[in-house]
Amino acid sequence: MGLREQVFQYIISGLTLGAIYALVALGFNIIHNATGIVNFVQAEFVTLGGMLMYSFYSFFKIPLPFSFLLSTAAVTVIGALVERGPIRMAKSKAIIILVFITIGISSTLRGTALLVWGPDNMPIPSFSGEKVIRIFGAAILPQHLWVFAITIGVVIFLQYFFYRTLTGKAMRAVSANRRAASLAGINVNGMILLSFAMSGGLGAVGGMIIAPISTTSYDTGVMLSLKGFAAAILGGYGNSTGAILGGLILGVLESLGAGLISSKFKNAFAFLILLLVLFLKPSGLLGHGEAERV
Amino acid sequence: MGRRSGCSMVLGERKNLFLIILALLIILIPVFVKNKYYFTVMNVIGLNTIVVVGLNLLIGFGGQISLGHAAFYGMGAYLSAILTITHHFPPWPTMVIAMLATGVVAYFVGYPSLKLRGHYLVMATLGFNIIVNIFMVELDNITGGPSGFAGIAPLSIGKLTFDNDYKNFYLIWAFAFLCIVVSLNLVNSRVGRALKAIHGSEVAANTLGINTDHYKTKVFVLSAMFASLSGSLYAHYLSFISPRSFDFYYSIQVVTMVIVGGMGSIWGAFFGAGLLTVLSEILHVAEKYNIIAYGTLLTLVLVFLPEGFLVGLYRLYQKRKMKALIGGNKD
Amino acid sequence: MNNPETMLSAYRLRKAFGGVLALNDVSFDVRRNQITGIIGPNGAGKTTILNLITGIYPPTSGNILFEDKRISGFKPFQVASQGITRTFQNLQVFQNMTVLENVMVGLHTQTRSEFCSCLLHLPKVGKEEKMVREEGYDLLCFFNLGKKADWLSSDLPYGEQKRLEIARALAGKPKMILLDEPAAGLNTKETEKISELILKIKEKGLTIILVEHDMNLVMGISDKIMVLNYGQKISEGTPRVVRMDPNVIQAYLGKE
Repeated sequence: MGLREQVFQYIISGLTLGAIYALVALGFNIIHNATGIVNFVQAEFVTLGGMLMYSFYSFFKIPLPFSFLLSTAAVTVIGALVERGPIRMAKSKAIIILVFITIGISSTLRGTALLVWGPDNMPIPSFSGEKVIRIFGAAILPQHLWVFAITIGVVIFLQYFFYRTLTGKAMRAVSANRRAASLAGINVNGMILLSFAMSGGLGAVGGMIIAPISTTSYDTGVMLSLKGFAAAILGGYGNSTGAILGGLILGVLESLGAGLISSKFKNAFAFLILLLVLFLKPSGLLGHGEAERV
Repeated sequence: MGRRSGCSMVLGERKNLFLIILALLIILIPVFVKNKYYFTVMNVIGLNTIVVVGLNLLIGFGGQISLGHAAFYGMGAYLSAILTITHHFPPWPTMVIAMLATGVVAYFVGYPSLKLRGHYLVMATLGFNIIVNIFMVELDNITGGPSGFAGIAPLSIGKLTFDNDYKNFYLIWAFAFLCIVVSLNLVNSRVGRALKAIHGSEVAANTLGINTDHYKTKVFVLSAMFASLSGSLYAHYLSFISPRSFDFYYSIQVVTMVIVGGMGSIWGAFFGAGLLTVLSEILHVAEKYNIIAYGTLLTLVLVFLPEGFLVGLYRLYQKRKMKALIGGNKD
Repeated sequence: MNNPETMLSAYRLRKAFGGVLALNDVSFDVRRNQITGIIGPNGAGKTTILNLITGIYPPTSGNILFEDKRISGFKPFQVASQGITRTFQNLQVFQNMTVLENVMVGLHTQTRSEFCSCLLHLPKVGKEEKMVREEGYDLLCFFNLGKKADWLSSDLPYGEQKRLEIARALAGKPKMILLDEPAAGLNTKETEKISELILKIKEKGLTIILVEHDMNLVMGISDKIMVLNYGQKISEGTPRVVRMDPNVIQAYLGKE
């Protein structure tokens, strides 16, 4: 394979992974916008998506498409339970405490996953076979196309939801100004619950569509979600277009870096980019600065 | 009738008494306890205490979250190992060099993150931890790679070499005691108050003349240096280090220790380190339960006792007492 | 700035938050050892002025001079070391500290010990601590809070917390103090006490800027009043002059 084909290959795999980062970043943003919390449970949403799908398919013999939907629904419910349970019950509402609580819940869920499924990788079949498609000399799997298609579908759905439905607009109102939203009659607690549920669903979808390509295990979600967070910061924290842009760019840079520079430091690239963004332009590519009213 | 703030209520002016008790314990325990295993555990508690006490200054007083202290711990360990063995540096000055180097790195990671509103330090430190860990694994000709770095010589002062658990107990706990004393000094001083003020209301602290960015950064650097010191001691004690001890799971563990012990309480930090190290040891038998145990404990304490185990339980106890009194006087 | 009687002067201050112009070309002077009141309907920009002076955010354009020194653009802690302190509309007492500790923080600018000295508890640190503790306690007594020095500040009733905030602001021996709605949420009796307190502070030689909604309070003790509406200055003068100004009357009554 010539250099051009190699680069194209890296870009394809970079965009694929980038799509997942984008989904995770969107999940982070939704919760952060609604509550100001950095939600560490995002990692487990991603993991559980893939693991539950594996169980539904391999153990309960439910056909793949239904396993997909079932798993999404399940993790959405888990997301809601996380909010309704520990977060809502927390005695202290200080953001630092709530963030720590998500760290605790994340560990708890990860520990549970370890006990239930063990430490091994779980194989998940591709959604529609393994026949390689060649475009410009690069090998593309059908699963890559699934990733792109589903991600685009999700993004369109979110656009529609946030800008065309009443609930979506209500959520945006809560992000903009919580007190004003509640005075306008919006059920703020309900919106927060919804934000967690949606993040759950998004994370699960992300985890499931990439699982056939990169397998899944009890801690797959950790790296993916951390990089997703880096993508969110890169794009401008809180900004949904930024999340998508950040995810794709991060995925491609990481892939190119691993392919062309050094594959040993693959995981470090994402975080080096994260640190660079924080130090040079903390508002990210598309974000604006945060003002604080006294 | 008024209440006094959490930890001063429990331990306040009696701090000198507790220090004396701790000093006595440190001196006397090796006289009565002979079991080698117990010493290993107590030494690990000591090492963790140093890290946790420093981290508590950052979290409890500075009000910031760091998920990267394993990296600073590891930097101390690896710098001590590499400089003393590969480059034949004298170990004691190396410890100091390691602390300073770690401090400088912490400054460059911390200052930009802490200038920003919001919890960017969490992510910056987490990212930093992962990067450092990857470097520990991949730069294998310097660090020994994933199989670790062996053959680190024990520390010695003149003829006295700290080469068994018993002697290391004194060494490690001498340092732990020092760190506790120094932290107590800081907390009960102008700087400690400034940090608490930043935690209470950063904007008000600023308008009272406190340069909050600098204070937050300095306490972050200080906590990193504590971790580095502990890492160096760890390296010389166990004579073998590997990257696996310095991943971000360890960062989460030490943060858990701070929270369970009670943010903003030096003695709480010590208690948290002790309790959770022991818990870890107990769970070592079934290591796969480690993660879920930590996670559940952290979550439960945070949800129901956010001021920390000790303080939280003390307050519950006080509330029960109050209720009983009021209930009794109801008619 | 030539007049030695002028302590602070603001020149053509503008502050925009995104698309909203909170302050639009406001200029004013504050005279030494006087109480300057700032009044106006909600959202007029009063707190914005205080925030600009204390450096919470920089002005979009315009200057602020304090004793001939340009302070616009200073960070809050730098403004504090120039001798300006403040209280807050939404009460920013340190709830996690005792009453005495709050005031001791106020003395931060009067002390020097830094990290290294504090870690090692050098003798000078001990001496400073003693001084800070004693001065803080004396100040609390002046404010009638001495008996509650060791109380957790969140346990104080609201009115006393507001007093505590003022005490804390005074601890640093400032030249000028900005009071942001000190009477908010207080009943008539408590407001009278605040009024006396502010006059006592003036007697000590300080210069005061007072943002307030309570008309009796402001009109009663201010030497000069500035009226803002929609980010612009619509009137300025002694309480009597301002009270009669048709622009002012319209701004307030016209709202209904």
